[in-house]
Parts: sequence; C-alpha cells; structure tokens
Amino acid sequence: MTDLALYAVIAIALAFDFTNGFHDAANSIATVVATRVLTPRLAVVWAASFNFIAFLVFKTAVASTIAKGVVDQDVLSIGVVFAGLIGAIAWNLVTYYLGLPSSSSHALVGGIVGAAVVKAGFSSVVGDGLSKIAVFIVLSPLIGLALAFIFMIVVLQIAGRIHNVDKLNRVFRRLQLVSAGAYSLGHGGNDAQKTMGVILALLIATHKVGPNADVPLWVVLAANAAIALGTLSGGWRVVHTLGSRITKLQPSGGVAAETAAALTLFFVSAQGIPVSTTHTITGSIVGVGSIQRLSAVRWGVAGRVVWAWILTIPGAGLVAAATYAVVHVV
Amino acid sequence: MDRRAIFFLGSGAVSAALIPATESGLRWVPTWLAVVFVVLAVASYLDWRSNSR
Repeated sequence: MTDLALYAVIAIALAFDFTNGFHDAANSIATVVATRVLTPRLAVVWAASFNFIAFLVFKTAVASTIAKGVVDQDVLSIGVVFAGLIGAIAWNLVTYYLGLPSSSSHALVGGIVGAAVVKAGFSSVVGDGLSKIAVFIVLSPLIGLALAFIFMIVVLQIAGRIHNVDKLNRVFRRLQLVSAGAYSLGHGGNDAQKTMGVILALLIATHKVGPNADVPLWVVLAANAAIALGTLSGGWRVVHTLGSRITKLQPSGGVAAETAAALTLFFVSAQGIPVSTTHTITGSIVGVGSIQRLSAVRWGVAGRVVWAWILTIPGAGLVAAATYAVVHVV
Repeated sequence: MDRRAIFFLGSGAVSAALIPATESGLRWVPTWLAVVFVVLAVASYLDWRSNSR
C-alpha cells in the first residue's frame, strides 16, 4: 500500500514538473517568439531540447535544498508531499488560466511548507533554508534586471559604432538562438531539480534511500524529460504576457534579457538556490525596457506579475494545508 | 526628476536591506548588487541631466 502511494505521488510530482514546463518554460521562448527569431513551434522544440540536456551541465544542489532544506526531514511524509504538490498544481492552473506568470517554484515551496505546518507546526520549517529562498525571491529578478541593463549599455555602444542596422539585427537574431538556448538550459537546471528534490524527499521518507543519498539517475532523467515534454506543450497565454506586454523587444534586447537571466540561473543553480525562472526573466525584460525610459515598461502588467509573486507562497500554502487536513482525516 | 534613477536607488536600497538576511557566504551578492544599482542611479541621473539641458 505504501509503495502504491509512493509511486502515485511520484507520478503527481512528474505531472507537476510537466505543468511547470508548460507554465514556466514558456518564458524561455517568450523573447524569441516576440522578436520573430523563431516560430512558436520551433521555439518550443529548441527550448525543450535544452531543458532536457540540463542534467549534463548542473549538479543536483537545488534538489538537495528542496529535499533537505525547506522543512524538517522527519516531518516529510507521502501525505505532506502529496498535499504540497496539490497546492502547487492548483495554484499553477489558476495562474495559467489567468495568464499570470507566477512562480511554480514558490508554489511548490509554499505548498510543502503549508502542509508541513499543518502536520507539525511552524517549528518544522527550516528557517535558514526558507530565508535563503525568500531572499533570492527578491534578489534573482534584481540581478537579472541589473545585468540586462548593463548588457544593453554594451549593446548600444556596439550599435553606435556599427551603422549598418540590418546587419546588426541579423547578428543579434542569430545570437538570440544561443541566448535562448542558454536560458532554457538554466531553466531546466533549476526547475527540473525541484521535482527531483520532491522525489528524493519521498524516497528518503519511505526509506528507499538513505538520508544522505544523492538523487538517483532515473529520477534525474524522469524530471528532465517531464519538464521538456511540458515545454513542448507550450504556454501561449504566459508567452503573450511576458513577450510583448511587459515591454516591446528587439532582437538585441532579447539577447540581453536572456543572457542576463541565463547567467543568474547558472549562478543560483550552482549555489543550490531554487529561484523562480519567471521572476528572473521578468526582471531581465524590465531591465531591457528601462534602458530607454521607465515608460517603456508597462508597469500595469508588471504590477500584476508582482501581485502574483506576493500571493503565490501563501496561496499555494493554504491550498496545501487544506488538502493535508483532508488527507489526514481520511 | 529622473524616475529611472529613483527606481535604481530604490532597487539598491532593497538589495542593501537584504544584506543582513542573507547567509554569510552569499552576502557579497546583495552587497555588490546595491553598489551596482547606486552606480547605475548616478549614471542615469547624469544622463538625464545632460539630456535635459
């Protein structure tokens, strides 16, 4: 019975990874689609490929943080993880329906914390781990913003010396394939690892692996495949919000935004910090938009995004808490 | 008044406010970010002032 429940929750975790793909990975292709470098169909294939091969580049530090650094390992059980996942998936679906680029990652963290608090109280929360995640909720978009702004200054300096605008645009359109690939790599590296972390937590809780075990290879492959398949399914509502409604992008801006976001994701993944890829690329796009003037950024849309950020952890946490309460009674 | 400079100063202030909350091994991240935003704010203000003259 325990094994059956374990496999069922692993399947739900992979389904969450899939929803993460179609919800978040759309960010990978937003700029290449907005600047018409790739068609939406080709763009999702491009992004999904880099999502999948991310396991060849990154270690599993983020997965370890999710499995061991958010709530006390003794509190984690199949019921807690199940409730956390239901909270996160429900929140993802609501924000997907509304076209809001909220964070699947913070939904997952909020979900697990909400369920753990109902089970064992606030003392079950690992304060250091949660505060590291909370700090980088704010820092990751700011890093992306600053880097993108600096990259745009460099781009404008180069553009000022090269007077052939058509040639310059052609170069940046090609470069955007590289930057979009790098961003998708960073996205696969950070986001797929959250599912790996959830599955690792389940395996530790059910004593299938030891408390200090690394992520098994089959988990790594399954998580990367699930997010890549999710990306292939697309997330057009969110693409529309990010790619064209926050600010109008040219190919050079797309390169700057994606490169800035990719570097941010490479850094935080190496540090084992789960961040929102959505937050990061949004901050980068705002950085590009503000190179001209702040009015180039459509703050109304950006403001809705910020509200989604603020509401995500408590929203997913409340759904997870209610789910855990029901599961516990049943 | 240059709103972009104010925006960057605000971002720098947020980064600086997060320094104590960041674990010691990573404190250089918000510290550098705060410095970068202050530099960008000054540069933005100078750019605005030279354009408005």
